Amino acid sequence: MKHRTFIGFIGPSLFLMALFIAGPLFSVFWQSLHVTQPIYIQVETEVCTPGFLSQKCTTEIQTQPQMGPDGKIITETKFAGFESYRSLLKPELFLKHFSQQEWSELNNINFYKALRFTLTFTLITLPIVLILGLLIALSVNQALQSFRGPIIFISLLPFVITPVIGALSIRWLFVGDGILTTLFEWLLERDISMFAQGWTIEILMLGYRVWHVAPFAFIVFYAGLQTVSRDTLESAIVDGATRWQRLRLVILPHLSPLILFVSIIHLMDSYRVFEEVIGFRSEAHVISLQWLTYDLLIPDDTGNRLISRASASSMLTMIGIILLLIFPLRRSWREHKLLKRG
Amino acid sequence: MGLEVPTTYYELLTAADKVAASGQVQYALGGTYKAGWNLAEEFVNMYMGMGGDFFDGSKPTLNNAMGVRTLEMMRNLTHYMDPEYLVADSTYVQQQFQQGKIAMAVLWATRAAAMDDAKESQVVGKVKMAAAPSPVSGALPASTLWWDGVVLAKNMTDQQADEAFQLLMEGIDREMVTNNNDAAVWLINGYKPGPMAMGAAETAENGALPYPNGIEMGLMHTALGNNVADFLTGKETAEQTLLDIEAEYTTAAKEKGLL
Repeated sequence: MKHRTFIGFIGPSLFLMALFIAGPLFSVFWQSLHVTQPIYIQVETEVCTPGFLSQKCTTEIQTQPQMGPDGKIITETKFAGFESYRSLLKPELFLKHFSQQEWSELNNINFYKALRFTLTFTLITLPIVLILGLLIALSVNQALQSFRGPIIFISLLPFVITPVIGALSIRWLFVGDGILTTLFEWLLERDISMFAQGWTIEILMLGYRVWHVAPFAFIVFYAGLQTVSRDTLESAIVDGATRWQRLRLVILPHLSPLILFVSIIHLMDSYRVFEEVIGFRSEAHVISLQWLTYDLLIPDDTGNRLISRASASSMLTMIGIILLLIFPLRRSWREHKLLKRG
Repeated sequence: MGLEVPTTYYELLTAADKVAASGQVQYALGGTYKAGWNLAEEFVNMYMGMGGDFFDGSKPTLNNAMGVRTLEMMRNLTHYMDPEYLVADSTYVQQQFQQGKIAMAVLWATRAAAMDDAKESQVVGKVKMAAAPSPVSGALPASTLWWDGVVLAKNMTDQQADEAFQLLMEGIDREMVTNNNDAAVWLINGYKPGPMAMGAAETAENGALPYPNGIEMGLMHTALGNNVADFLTGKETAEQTLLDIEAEYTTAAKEKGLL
């Protein structure tokens, strides 16, 4: 292909990537290194209770941001270096607690609390999603041709549901005297409160995520199974290979690029776990890195938002995803090179 | 059961104990203790009732005996609640009431009308609103006053402002209040406080303070909402929790340029 034609084809998408990925990324990085603060003045204000039966008024000194002549708040933006990262990571406290193995104290720092959950969540759901997806794919592949359509349709349904809505429905099934809690209480003959402690909420979150994502793994693996060479499989049968040997030596090697693909997508997605925290209202027990960014970003009653720290937090989330992806990507790169060499 | 309406939290706990022992309802108390904003609001109510101050200038000052007592009182109350209190918001508590699962709760006065809504409530006419109790006898009610108002933006043209003002006045006139008297506790002429609004009225009469809104309080509210639960679940001591709250507030206030 001519150089010009190549640029012509790739140009638009490069432009859009720069506009929507590189641009925001750079902006977030810049904001994480700077702080923007209003200039405050102390104002004596009269505060009155509403005129409900009787009214009480008091004067107090309030801190208010100073307004410019155009009615906008005057702000100044300063370079803060890695201060926002420091206040998130608290390196001194981390080293102190880490060296003395004080895990509960470490867990008390929001960032490490979130990191602990995010990592366990990601790493526990990954193998379950892969194995479950593969199992469903294999069994659908064995099913009668006429049943396959409906089975595929039904197994895909969880993947179609909007994540927040799915999480909310699971909470409604279990919270208080929800249908499923009542059922389990009746079966086990004891009182159950799924949302009263951290570990039960975590189990619900893991279960919900696996239920939600396994269909994606299933459909990818199922597509892969359609391309397994029948000749190889039949010759394996002729050679006396058991079902397990056929799976291990023929099917899995054939699917391995797909397994890698599903793993990479799943690692990226579940490291950004967020909907579960909101849907299950788990802030008291379990928080995730993405939730931490959200909590810093969302304005409080007086409109304060901690944008610098939120930016730092999302940069750290991105770095975390890159670190997680290094291993599968290196593997994929090596296989790619092997293939090239033939 | 012949219980008096509690006026202090000590009386409330005694009453809750009797209700729990009687076994007539599933949980003696309900509370809007959902981690985050709701939980922080409950702390603010109790702490203000004790007469505590949150700030000296912009510096946090809640790490004191009143802060510890506030946390301990909150934990005592949770013993009588549904163990899932950390996910309970106003709607959840309102539903617990409507389904007859709880006997008492400190709840927004605006939620009162729903108790008597026959379409969704099983306890029509059985729930009454009383004034918010005080932490101890003689203290302020453990409550803060909130109300809605309207604001017109400064940068509107005079004509826009005129039209917006007329529209607002039309929306909050006497006729609207008469037609929807029990839908809210209206601060508008023509409103007749029904039995459900008397609690809010008495609370205000007993000297409840308005919510201490301000830039610092916004940050403090967030810090409270993120940390109070650690004490209630037994992960931390009261002192450590208060230290954490002050530390989180201080970090945020520095970032905002207040300290």
